[in-house]
Amino acid sequence: MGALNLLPREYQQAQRRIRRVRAWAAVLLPAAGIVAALLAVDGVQDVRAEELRLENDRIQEQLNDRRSEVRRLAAAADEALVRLQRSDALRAKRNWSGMFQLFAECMPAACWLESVATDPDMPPASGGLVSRARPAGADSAKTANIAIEAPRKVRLRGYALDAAEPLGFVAKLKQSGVFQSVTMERSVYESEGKPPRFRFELICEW
Amino acid sequence: MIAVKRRLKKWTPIGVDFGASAICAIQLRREGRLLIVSGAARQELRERGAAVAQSAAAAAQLAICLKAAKFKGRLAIAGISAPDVEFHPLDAAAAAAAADDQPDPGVQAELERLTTDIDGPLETRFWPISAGAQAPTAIGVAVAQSLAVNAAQSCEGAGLSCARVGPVATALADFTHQLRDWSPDEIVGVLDVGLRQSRLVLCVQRQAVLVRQAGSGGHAWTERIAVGLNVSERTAEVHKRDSGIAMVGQHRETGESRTELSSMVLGALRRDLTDLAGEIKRSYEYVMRCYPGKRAGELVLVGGGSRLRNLPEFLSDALGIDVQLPSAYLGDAACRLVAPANGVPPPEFCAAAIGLAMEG
Repeated sequence: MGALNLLPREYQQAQRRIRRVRAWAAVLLPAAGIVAALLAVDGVQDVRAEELRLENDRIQEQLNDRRSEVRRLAAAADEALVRLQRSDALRAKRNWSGMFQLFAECMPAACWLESVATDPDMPPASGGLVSRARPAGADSAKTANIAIEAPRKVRLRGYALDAAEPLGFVAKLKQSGVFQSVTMERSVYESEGKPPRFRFELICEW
Repeated sequence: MIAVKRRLKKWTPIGVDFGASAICAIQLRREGRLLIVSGAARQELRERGAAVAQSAAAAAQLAICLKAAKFKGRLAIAGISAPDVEFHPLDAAAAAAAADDQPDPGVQAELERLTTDIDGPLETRFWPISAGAQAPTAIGVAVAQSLAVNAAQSCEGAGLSCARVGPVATALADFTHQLRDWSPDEIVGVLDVGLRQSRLVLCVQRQAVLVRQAGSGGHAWTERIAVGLNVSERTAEVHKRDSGIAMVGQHRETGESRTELSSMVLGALRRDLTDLAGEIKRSYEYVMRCYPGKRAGELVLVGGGSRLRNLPEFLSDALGIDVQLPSAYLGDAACRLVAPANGVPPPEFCAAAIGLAMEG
C-alpha cells in the first residue's frame, strides 16, 4: 500500500529544512574545524617563526660581538707578534756581544760608559719595516715575515777623567775598522762631579 | 526506484505504534524475501488513553521503550489509530484523479464535513481504491494536526528522527499481507482489538478498501466482565486473559473443556462479541458487493484484546471463515515474517509497529 504521511506539509517542510541544516552542519562543522585547526597551527607556526627570528637576531648580535672581540684580539695578537718579530729582528741584526767586547777593548781605563743606544733607539713605525711577501694563502698576512732595517748608528754616552781619553777611545774604535765613521758629538767638562770629569758622547756609524 | 532503495537498505526504520495502552517499537531486518524482527520493545503506559495526546509524556515512555532493545539507526515511522484518526469512504472522482495523496479543496471540505469526532484543525489525506470497485473510489483519512505533530515530536523527544506519521490501518494491511500469499480473489480482514475500540480493515489485493470501527474495545469488555462477575476490573482483566470465553459451535463439539468461569465471561461479553461479529459480517458483505467475484477470506486478529482466550474460535463460528492470530502463521513457509521467540512481544501485540516498519 502507498504510505500516507499525516504530518502537516508545513511541519514536513520545517523538518526537511532542519535536516538540511543538520546535513550542512555535519559537513561544514568538521570542515570549519579543520580550517580552524589549520589556522591555529599556522598561527602557532607564525609565533614560533617570530620567536626564532628574535632568537636569530639575538644570536647574530652575539656573533657580531664575538667577531669584533676576535678582531680586537687578533689585532692585539698581531701587534704582539710584530713586536716580537721586531725584537727578534733587532736581536738578529747585530752581534751585540761582539760589539760590547769591542767597546771594552777600545775603551781607555779612565773612561766608563753611561749608556749605549742605537740611533734612533727604536726602528721607525714605517719605513724601517720591510714586509717580505709570501705566496698567497689564507693567513699570509698573519705569517708574513717582517724584516727590520738594522740601525746604522750607535750612540755611546760616558765619562772620562781626562779630556784626551775620549779622543783615544774614538781613535781605537776607528782603528778597529768596524765602523764607517766614529765622531765625537760632544765632550763637556763637568766640574760639579766628584771627581771632576768629562762627559762625552760618540756616534759610531756603520 | 524507491522500492529498490528500500530493498538495498538492510534495516527498516523503527515502527512506533502509539497505542492507548502501550507504545510498541519494532525494527525489521531484510534477508532476501524474509523480514526478521531485529529489535522489539513494548512499554505499557502508566495512564491509559491516547498516548500521543501529551507528547512529552509519550516521548518519555518511548525513550524507556527504546532502551529495552537494540535498534539500528534513528529513523522512525509513527502510527496513530482510530479513534484519533477517522477514515471515510469517498466517492469523489476528483480524489481518484488527484496527483498525490493531498486531496483537492473539494475533497478536503468533504472530509472535514464527514469528520465529526476530532476537534481542531484537520490534516486530510486519502488513498485511491483499485480499479474495478463499484464504490467508493478512495478512502479519506482525517487526523487532528496537533495529534500528528505530537506523534512526530514524541519520536523526536525520544531521540528518533520521525520520517512519517501514518495511519495504523494501512500498516496493518501491509502486515497482514506478509503473513502468507493471499489469493487475489480473497477479501482478507484484520481486526485490531484495541483498548478503546475494535477496528476492522478489509483488504482486496493488498489494498485496504474498508476501514471502520467494528465495536467496543478491550477496556469495555473488561468493564462488562467486572460488572457481570461482580469483580474488580483488575480481576476481570485476569479472567479475560486466563479463562477467556467458552467455546461455542463446532469448536464446542470437538470436546474442548468448557469451564464455568469461561461461560460466565462469555455470558458477560456475548452481546458485545455478537455485535462485533455482526459488524464484521456486514462489512465483509459490503465489500463483497462492492467487489463482485471476491470471496470472504481469512480474518487476522491483532491488538491486545485479541488475546481474549477463544476469541478466534468464537468469531470463526460466528462468521464461517478462518480467524487466526498472527502467531499461527509464523513458521509457515509462505510467511515472510520471522519473529524470534525470545525477547519479542507476540506479533498480535506489535502488528501495527511491524506494519509501520515494513512501510519504511
